Amino acid sequence: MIEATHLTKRYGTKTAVNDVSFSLQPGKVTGFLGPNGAGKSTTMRMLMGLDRPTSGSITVLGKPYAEHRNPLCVAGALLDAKGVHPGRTARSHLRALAATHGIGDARVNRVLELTGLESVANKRVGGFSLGMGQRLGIAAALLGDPQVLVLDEPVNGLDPDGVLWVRGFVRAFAAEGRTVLLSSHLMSEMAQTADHVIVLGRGSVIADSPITELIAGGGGQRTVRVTSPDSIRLGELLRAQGARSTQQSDGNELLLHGIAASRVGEIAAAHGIVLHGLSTDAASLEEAYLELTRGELEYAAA
Amino acid sequence: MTTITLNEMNASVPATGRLSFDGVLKGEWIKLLSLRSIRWSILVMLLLSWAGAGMLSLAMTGSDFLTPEALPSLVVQSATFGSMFTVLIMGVLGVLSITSEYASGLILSSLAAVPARTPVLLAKALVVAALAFSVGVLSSFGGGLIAALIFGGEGFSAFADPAVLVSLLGNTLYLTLAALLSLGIGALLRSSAGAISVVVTLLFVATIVLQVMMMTGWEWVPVVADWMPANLGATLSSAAMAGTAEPGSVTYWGALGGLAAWAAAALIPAAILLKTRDAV
Repeated sequence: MIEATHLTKRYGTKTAVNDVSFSLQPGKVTGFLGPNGAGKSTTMRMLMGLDRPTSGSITVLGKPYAEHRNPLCVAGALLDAKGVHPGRTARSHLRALAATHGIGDARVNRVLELTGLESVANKRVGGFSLGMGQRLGIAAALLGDPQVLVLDEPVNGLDPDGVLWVRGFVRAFAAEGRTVLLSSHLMSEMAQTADHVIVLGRGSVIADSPITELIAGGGGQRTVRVTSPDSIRLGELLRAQGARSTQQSDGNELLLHGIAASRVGEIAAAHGIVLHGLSTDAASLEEAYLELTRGELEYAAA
Repeated sequence: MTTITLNEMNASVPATGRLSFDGVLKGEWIKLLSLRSIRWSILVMLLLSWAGAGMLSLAMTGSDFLTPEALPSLVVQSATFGSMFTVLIMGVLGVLSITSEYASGLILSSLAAVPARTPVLLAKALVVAALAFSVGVLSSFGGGLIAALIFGGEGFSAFADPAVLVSLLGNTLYLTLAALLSLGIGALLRSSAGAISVVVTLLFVATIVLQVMMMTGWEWVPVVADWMPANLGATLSSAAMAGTAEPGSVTYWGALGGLAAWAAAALIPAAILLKTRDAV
C-alpha cells in the first residue's frame, strides 16, 4: 500500500531522513514513533509529494503520490494543525479544496458530519479550539474518500474526548481495509491505537514491528519495584549485583532495572532484609521506546 | 506486489473525484472570495479611488484649468488620481493571496491536492487578475463618472472622446498588472512582510527615490524612472490623451508591454521555483 525504498532527505548538510525503507499494509494502523527531529514529519511530507526525496522513493498504491491523477482520492493528510486560514469558515475551506477535484457540496457536508463539525461549519476557523481544528484537518483529508490517511500528531494538545474520538475514528477507518499512518509522541495512545509501529531515530528506522512484539522485546528492561524499610542497604547490595536503580521515589521504595524480581527476593533473604513489597511493572511501549531511542535523542536534556 | 496494489487501486478508488484545471480555478475563486479581509480591502480601495476623483474634480471646478478643451484630460486625471495609493492595496491583495497560504500552512493542502503545482499558481494569477480588473474598472470608470458629474452638464461629453476610455482602461490594466507582479513577488518570497516591503518599494518608494536622484543629472536616472511600474502606470493613464506625450518618452503600448514584463519577471521564476522547491 505504502512503500518506502532507501528514502533519504538532506537539507543542506543536515540529513533529516537517512536510507529509510518500510512497507505499510492495508487494514492496519501504523504508528510513527520517534523523538523530535527523528524524520517523521519529513517522511510524511515526502509521502504526500510535498518534499522531494534526495534519493530513494516512497510510493502509494504503486506509484509516487504526485503521479496519481486524482490524488485526493488516493491519500488524505493532516500535516499541520493550523493548515487553515483563520479568516475562512470551515465550509469554505473544505469547498475550496473539494472544488479542485470536482467534489460536490454533498461530500463536504458528509465529511463535516463524519467529524462532528456540522454545527460550526459556517463559523470562521480563527475561533476554533485546537480539537476542532484537528477535526477540520481530518475532514479535509477525507474529502476524496481516500484509501490512505496520513496524520501527523493528530492528538497533540487534544482533550481526552478528542483523543478518544481520533482513536475510534482511525480504528474504524483501518477496519474498512484502508491504511492509516499516524505519528504521535504519546506512547500510551499509540499502544491503544496502532497495530504496527515504526520507530525512527535520527532519520533512520530503529524498529519496525507489530506493537505486541515491540513491547515484548522491551521486556528485558522491565521495572522492578521493591519496598523495604532498609532500602538504602538493599539498594547498595542490588547495585553490586548489576541492578540499575533509576529512581528512589520515596524513602522506602526502589525502582530497578536489569534485575529480575526473583533475584531481588533471594538477595534480600540472604541478607535478612525485610521486604514490604516486591513487584514487576507490566512492560509498556513507553519503556520499549525509551530503550530503543536511548542515545538517539537529538536534543537530549542537558 | 505491483500487480496486487494496482488491482486494489482499480477496485477501490472511487470515481467521484476528478482533478481538473476548471476545478483548481473554482477552488481559487472560493479561496479569494471567502475572506472578509479581501472584501474589506476592495471596499476601501474603491472608496479611496472615488474620494480621490471627487476631491480633485471639486478642486478644479471653478479654476482656470477647466476649459472645454482640457475637460477630457481633467476627467481622466481625477479618475486616476487615487491610483498612486490604491495600487498598493491591489499589491497587498496580490501578495496575500499566496503568502497567507504559507503563513497558515494551507499551502500544504493546496499542493497536496494539486501535485503538479503550476496549475495552482496559474489559477491564482487568473482569479487575482479577474478580481483586480473588475475592481479596476469600477474604480477607474466610476471615478470618471464622479468627476464628470462634478464638472456638470458638459462633463459627460468627455466620454465621447475615445482617448478617455483608453486611458481609463489603461489605469485598470495598471492595477491588474501590479496585482500580478505582487502575486509573483509573494510566491517568490513566501513571506507576507518581506513581499509587501518589496512591493511597496517597487510601486511607490523607488519612484520617489529616483525623483530625488534626478537632481544628480545622471543620464540613466530618468530612463530607469520611466520604466519603473508606477511611472509606466502613469503613462498608461495619460499617454493616450492628446498633447501629453513628449517625444522620446514611453508610449502607451510600451508602458503596457513594460508592465507585463515586470509581472512576467516575477511570475515565471515563481512558477519554476514553486515546481522545484520543497512545499514549505
